[in-house]
Amino acid sequence: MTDNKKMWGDLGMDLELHDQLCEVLPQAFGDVFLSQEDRPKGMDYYNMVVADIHGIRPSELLEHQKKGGKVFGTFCIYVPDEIIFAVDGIATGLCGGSQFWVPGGEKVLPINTCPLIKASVGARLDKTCPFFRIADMYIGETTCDGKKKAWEILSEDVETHVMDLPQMKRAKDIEAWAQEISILKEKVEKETGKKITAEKLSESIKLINGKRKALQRLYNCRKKSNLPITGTDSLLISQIAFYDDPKRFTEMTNALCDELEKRIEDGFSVVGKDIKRIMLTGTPLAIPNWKLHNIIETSGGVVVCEEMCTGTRYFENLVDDTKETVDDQIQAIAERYMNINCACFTPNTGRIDDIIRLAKEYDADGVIDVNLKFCNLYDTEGYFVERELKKAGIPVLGLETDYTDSDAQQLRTRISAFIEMLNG
Amino acid sequence: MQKVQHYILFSNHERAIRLYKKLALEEIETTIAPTPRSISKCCGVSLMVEEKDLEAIKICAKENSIEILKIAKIKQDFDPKRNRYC
Repeated sequence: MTDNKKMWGDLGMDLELHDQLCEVLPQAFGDVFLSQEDRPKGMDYYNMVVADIHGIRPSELLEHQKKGGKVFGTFCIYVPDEIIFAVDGIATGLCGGSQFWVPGGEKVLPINTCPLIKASVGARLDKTCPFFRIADMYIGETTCDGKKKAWEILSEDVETHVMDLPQMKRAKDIEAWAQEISILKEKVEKETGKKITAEKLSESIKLINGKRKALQRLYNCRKKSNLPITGTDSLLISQIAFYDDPKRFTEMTNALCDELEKRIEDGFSVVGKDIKRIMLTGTPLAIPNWKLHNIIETSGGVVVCEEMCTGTRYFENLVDDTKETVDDQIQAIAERYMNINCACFTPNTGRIDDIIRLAKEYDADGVIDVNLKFCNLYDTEGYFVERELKKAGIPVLGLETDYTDSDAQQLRTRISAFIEMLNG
Repeated sequence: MQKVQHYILFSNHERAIRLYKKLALEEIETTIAPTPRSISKCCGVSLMVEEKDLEAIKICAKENSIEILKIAKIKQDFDPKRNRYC
């Protein structure tokens, strides 16, 4: 029998505490996902990923390490996976999306830190996530103050390389980011004992671009008036993209898209014609944070797009794969990543343009601007988001939340009222 | 409202997927799902199946030498408005 407990024990995990998360996952997954009707058959792959979320992929990472490979934990979509895969390393996203991990983070971080950071630190320090235990090295970045200081604490427990993300997007900042990527290249080469060649980097650029194209294809299906998939299911796919094997994920997502495109062709929809189409924008929804999608989609709405790190910011724009030298490839990577419009940049008018563009592309009836509690960057930028959406005549609701269940009913009331308003 | 739901359990996920694929070829619908904790704390990946298909599933598993650990049934309700997450 597959013995996950032995694996977790060997990783030094706190088995008793970890079991508390294992206890609640099946019911929560059933309530949120399996209660939905007419799910695409292709979602069974993602069901499997979650069903053994701390077993299958961690086993693969350990197998990779047994063969001499290295695993790098990442926390941000600015960290270029292409560099890591080019040294035959594996990049695994480590962002925490559960309240279960937050108390562990609050032992060392201020309470008024965003729950994503607290959960990520808590998952490591409380030893309750195998991914956090397996990674040979973490790669952090200077996106926000909370993360900057969190890396200092984490680095006392695990080797952490921090990339200095610029705060502006001038030409000199793109150049600076290219230099940071070169430093990362040297770091992962030293860690793995392998040199990045133009050929290897070209392969990994194509690998990661392939994943981006599959996700774009999925999202294109959500632009249609007859929706072949719910936003809840689409969110799960985006979340799994952060840590699943890229090649397999791309194949399975493309296979799912074959099914979705057939549904569109056949005029099949998982929702009724009059349902209100909602776009989300804001802070990321790391796995297993399913709260907002569940509430929206059981309150008369359907989520058609996420302008978030767990959404369009993850996959829009490809790395130019025509470059032939490592220096030119790194420059192309830097340019693609610096096109991501995160609120950690100033100014960030590009994000406002993206939100209005996407709201039109996805035919959104309304936009919900979501902010994780204590995220000052996105909360402040919400002023511009909501002002410009109102100018564009697009209804908007601003919400702040965390990972607890305690505000779920209140959110349900507010979201229901917003959807009621959209219904006229 | 609680509904009686049947699950097929396996000792590893590879067996679950093998049977899932064989059953799909025979047009027997199953859903891959996390194993409810009330049934087992060991096996992560199960197949949710319809009671009417149980005999056909057992035959398929036997013919393809896929070992089933257990067939379990529980009263279960999925409430999409439970407002409890993980």
